[in-house]
Amino acid sequence: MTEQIKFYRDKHLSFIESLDTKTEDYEYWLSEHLRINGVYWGLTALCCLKASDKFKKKDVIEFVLSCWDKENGSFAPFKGHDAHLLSTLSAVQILAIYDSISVLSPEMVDSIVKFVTSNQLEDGSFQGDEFGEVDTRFTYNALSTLSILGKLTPQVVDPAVSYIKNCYNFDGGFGLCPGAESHSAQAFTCVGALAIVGKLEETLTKQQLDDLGWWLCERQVDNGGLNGRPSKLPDVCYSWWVLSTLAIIGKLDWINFPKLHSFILKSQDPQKGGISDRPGNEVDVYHTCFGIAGLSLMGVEDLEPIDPVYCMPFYITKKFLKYK
Amino acid sequence: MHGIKRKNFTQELIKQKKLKDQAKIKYYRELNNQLLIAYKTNHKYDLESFKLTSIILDLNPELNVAWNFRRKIILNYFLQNTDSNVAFDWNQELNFTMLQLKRYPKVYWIWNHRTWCLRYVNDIQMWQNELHLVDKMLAVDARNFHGWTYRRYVVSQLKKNEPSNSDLLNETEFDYTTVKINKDISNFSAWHQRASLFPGKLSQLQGYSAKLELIKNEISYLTNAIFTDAEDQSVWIYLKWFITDATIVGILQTGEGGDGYLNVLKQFEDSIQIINNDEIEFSGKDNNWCLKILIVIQTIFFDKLQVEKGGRTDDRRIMLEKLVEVDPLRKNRYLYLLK
Ligand SMILES: [Zn+2]
Repeated sequence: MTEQIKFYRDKHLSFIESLDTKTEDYEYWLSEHLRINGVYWGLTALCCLKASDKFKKKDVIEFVLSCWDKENGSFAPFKGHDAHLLSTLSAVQILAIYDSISVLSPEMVDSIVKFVTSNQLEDGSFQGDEFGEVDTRFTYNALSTLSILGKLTPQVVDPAVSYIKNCYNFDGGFGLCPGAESHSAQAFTCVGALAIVGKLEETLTKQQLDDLGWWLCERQVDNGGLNGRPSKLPDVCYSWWVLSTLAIIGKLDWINFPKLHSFILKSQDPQKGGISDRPGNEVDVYHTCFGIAGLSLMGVEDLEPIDPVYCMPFYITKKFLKYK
Repeated sequence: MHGIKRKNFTQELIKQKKLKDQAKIKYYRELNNQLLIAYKTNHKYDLESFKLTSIILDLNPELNVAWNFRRKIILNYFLQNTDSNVAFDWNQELNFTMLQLKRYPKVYWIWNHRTWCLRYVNDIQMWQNELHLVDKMLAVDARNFHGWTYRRYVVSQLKKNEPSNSDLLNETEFDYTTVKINKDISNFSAWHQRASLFPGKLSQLQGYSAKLELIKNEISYLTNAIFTDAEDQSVWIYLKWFITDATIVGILQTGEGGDGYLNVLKQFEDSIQIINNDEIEFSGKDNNWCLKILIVIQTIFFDKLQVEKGGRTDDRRIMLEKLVEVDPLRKNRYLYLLK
């Protein structure tokens, strides 16, 4: 069934390695606000490709530490920017992948925990920073960060779980806040967050999990790709958001693997390497990471198995303290 | 990056682009450095810094740190200043973000900045203006989820400002979903919104017969929709909600000697069977959404209502087996349900 397109493993490696040399491109400078996320995406892709040594560990850790925002007491996406829950999680993930959480002093860890918990609002939701944007993406960022640091407490978890519950929709999916339309990325952030704190089964009934599985598998369209919402175009990054969520609820095989596999392969750039959102488009590290991670979840192309809950290799996440 | 066509540049074109980028990079990096130093090192909250944020955000609306700096300047400079010459012009600020939104309707930071501004302005006229703005945004892209989220927020603020207007707003918002759906029946954002508004609309009505009439109207609207486009999943997802929603079911169950709900389900079942038979006649195949929803209806019949099987057969297994054939992408779900 799969069309005979090669998986351009080596080209992807050189694409990822070349990312930090694109300083002659204007776009490189325009994307500074995503730099630390980009490093995490690149590193995760490399881990899946069993080539994490392609980045120099020492340089990457130095870079992560350079993103520390003293004023706000957590990690920014780049030196001189402001701390945010998005960049905080990326920083902690990178350090965890390098087994280097210990480069953080106890004061820094306390400061990160304080930054994260101080952004939790009364209804259990999280804002990304002091300016009030609320989104279940930030709930995931917060719970994942605290989990990796081994700092989850019922004071944080219980209200967060009840907020997530309020984001569940009649169609089986989750929205970015209560009342918002279901979106695949939000399914991952909500279900992933519930899985991190071990509260999936007690929060959702069997019927709700079946409905969620139904909604998720309806994301697959005829060309094999997955979309984020009904009647939208397929996009490689949903290979992660949809597939990881299906994996977490034990229904990974509810979509057709060979067709998705082929859709992801068709979205590769056969010249430069890298993967784009859909066939024929410009590649980037975000879609490269989530395309490869999706392939790993399907168990194809001889990739390192990835943990659908944390989007990091299992050999790393098995060391995390389980919250009970 | 989304939706950007891959360009296979020749070496010559790459060289040209790099040359062109050089000047742009130099200019941008200078501004960026100035901004970060003014913000993080010097805490320079003044008019000059404010203008700097405008210039750089115009080049790069994704630069979150510039939005943050801008807000700090508004708070620590403009709003602290008692000199009326520097009174802050919120309308101008809203105008700035509106122009940005028109160019970049999917950038989270811009929507966030606008929401932040409105917390400080908060008057009824302004919220009404916001509703017009979001109308325009959703006219350009009727599925923009930022737009829909913003719309719900604006409506909730309008209600807060004028609670007596709540019922009217529910009414107009419901009608808005009708307009959007009539324009494009696959607009699930509108169907989603309709499902969250319908129960409120029901509870506004006094008396059983008024409520029942509203439900009957919705049934004919839905029936019409499935006959119009049976391929699209949006209407089916809504229909699945409609026949299982506790409020609607409760009202239906009290009518027609307790059989109101059952009769509605039978009515839908008949319509769906007609659509499916047409499809079989036309293409030789079952319509997979017809089968999926018929299964939902039969599950209610046989598992929830425990209908006497007299005359009815439980076809769920047969339909699931058909789905394995006609909807192979989701084959494993049907095999799971067959177990
Ligand atoms: Zn994408």
